Amino acid sequence: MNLLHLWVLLRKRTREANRDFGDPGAITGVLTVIAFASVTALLLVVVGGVGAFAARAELPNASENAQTYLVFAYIAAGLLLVPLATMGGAAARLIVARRDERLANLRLLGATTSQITGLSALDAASQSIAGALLGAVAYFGLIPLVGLVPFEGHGFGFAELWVGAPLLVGVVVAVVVLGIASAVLGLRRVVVSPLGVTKRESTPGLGAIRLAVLAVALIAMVVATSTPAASIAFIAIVLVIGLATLNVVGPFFVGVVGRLYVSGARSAPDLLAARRIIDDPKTAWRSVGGVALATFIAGLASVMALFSKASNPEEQLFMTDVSTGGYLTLAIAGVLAAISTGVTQAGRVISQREQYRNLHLAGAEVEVLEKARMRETVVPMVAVVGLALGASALFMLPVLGAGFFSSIPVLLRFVASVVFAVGLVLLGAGASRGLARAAAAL
Amino acid sequence: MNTHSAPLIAKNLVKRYGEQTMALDGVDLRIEPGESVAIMGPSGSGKTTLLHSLAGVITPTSGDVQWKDREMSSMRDGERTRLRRNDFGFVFQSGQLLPELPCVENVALPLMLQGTSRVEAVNRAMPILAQLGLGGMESRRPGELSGGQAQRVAIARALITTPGVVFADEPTGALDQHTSAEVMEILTSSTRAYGASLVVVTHDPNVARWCSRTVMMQDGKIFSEFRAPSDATTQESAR
Repeated sequence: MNLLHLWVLLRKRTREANRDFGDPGAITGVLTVIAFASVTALLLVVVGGVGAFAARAELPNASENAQTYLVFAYIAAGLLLVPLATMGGAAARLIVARRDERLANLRLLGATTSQITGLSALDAASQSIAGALLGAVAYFGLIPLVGLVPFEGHGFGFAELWVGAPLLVGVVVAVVVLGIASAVLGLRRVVVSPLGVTKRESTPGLGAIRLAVLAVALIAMVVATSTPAASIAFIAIVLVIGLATLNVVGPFFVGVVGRLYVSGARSAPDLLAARRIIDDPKTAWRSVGGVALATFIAGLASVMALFSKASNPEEQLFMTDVSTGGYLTLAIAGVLAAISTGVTQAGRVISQREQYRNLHLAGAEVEVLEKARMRETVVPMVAVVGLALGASALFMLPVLGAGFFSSIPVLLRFVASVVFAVGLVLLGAGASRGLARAAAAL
Repeated sequence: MNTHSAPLIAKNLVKRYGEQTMALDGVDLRIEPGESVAIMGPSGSGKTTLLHSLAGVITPTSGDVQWKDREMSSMRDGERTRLRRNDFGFVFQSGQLLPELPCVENVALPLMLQGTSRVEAVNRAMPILAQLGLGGMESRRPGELSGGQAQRVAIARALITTPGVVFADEPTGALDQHTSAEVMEILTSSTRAYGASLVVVTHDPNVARWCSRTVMMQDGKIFSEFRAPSDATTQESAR
């Protein structure tokens, strides 16, 4: 039997088992495809959006602000690349979440490294191809919706937002390659130690070196503030520094939050949630980091209103469009954060399913386990929103002054934006409720 | 005194899966307070199904299990979950300890699930760990323990609620013979000291020998049972 036939047979038997025994793992296949589809569709929308602004800037009758629109489009795309990549990584991790045990069994039976690698690549390819193609179809559906959002007084047509066939194929291929590469690179444990029991020794703390990164960012910020604040390049530097710092400091911050949480934990759900956060702060950050970005973007979008006192209609239109762009970016970031949280949570439930079942068997109520699971997301999320607020203030105050905090409409808009992002993420976390209950089922 | 002490009585248990699989075929079993019973048999004989039925994990197709004058089949799922939490303890072959919790918190967890505060639960867990030879290891995580040490933590966790019955499913399945004997000695002596009954599922006669009674199963039925010729004290001196 060649490798492809073996893979087809294993897939068929897995589908039969899922159907006959209600294996909750069947849901992971669907979630993986959704995650890859989301990455593909939103990446195409973002790239199409940048292309549309670029095309408008090259028109003979382009407005004098057209180049500025393009720069902001690049900034928005840059802001969204990190959560897009994060979600792509989460989707790839979900592929490998359930397969290690099966592949380890095959290895023990004598499967070679190349056979294991081939099976893993075929698994990843099937799900990432399905997701990427679905995402490409979804992109066609999203174009008319995105086109309704007006910039410079009118929306975008289909042709403006269409990325072209070569780029479409390129994005689809890139997503598939991401999925396969992640699955293959994660095989080392299966290949080297198929009998290996996961030895969970004391987790080494994330280095305080990450705080040094923050210090460097602050110094860079001080240097940057010596540049005249009206420069677009200056704003871009501020954003990039802010975003990069958030992503580096985030896991360390979440680990500290976990340690504070565990010291005050009194109940079983709090203890379980706190220990899981400490055990894996990187995954905890990945679950909620998108909210940090969304909060950061919400701050930017809301702050645009501070500059809304334009002297002429063109300037007014420009400021309104910048604010619109900010909220559109926030909406995309919020959706990415929600899907990323859902996918990461699903992966956690699957990797912890034996513990869920044994705890329930030993008398833990499913509701208690569910509380622990939600607190594992909510507690870091609340802390992370605070961190992002602090980061926004830290990076924006030197530029904008305290005016940000004195404008009630701006603050209300900001709060509403953050609530929107947080709500989406909670929805993403809650989406795994059924999976968790099924994992605990006796 | 163990307030959860009571006889556990199974009457004519039948468990059918699908149309053809009869996992239990009319099983009667009575376990007295403080008794240790080994359930032995080949793979597929119904041992684990019987253990799960006795522990209220699954409901039989017919027949019943009586605990403290109540029939488990009349209990709702939430009641049976409470029963497992408050009246029973469990020791599995593996995968039962939470890797992210240090040993003392793994042991304290059942009390916390009952609503006991963390401080009190941890204070009650410390002496049990010391009694089982794990003093000084409270802050270690399960991944830093040997197989035998991890099973001792699991035993401590099973006993902290002072259960009426401890259910052990192949508790030494992943251990070597010497460590198996150590774990069984601790399991039987500590359950006896806590006044709890012990039900052990095993395919290993060396494990069954530690119990005061052994029932043999095949094809979903108990076909024989016998009492051990000596108790654990005698076995220890013989070793």
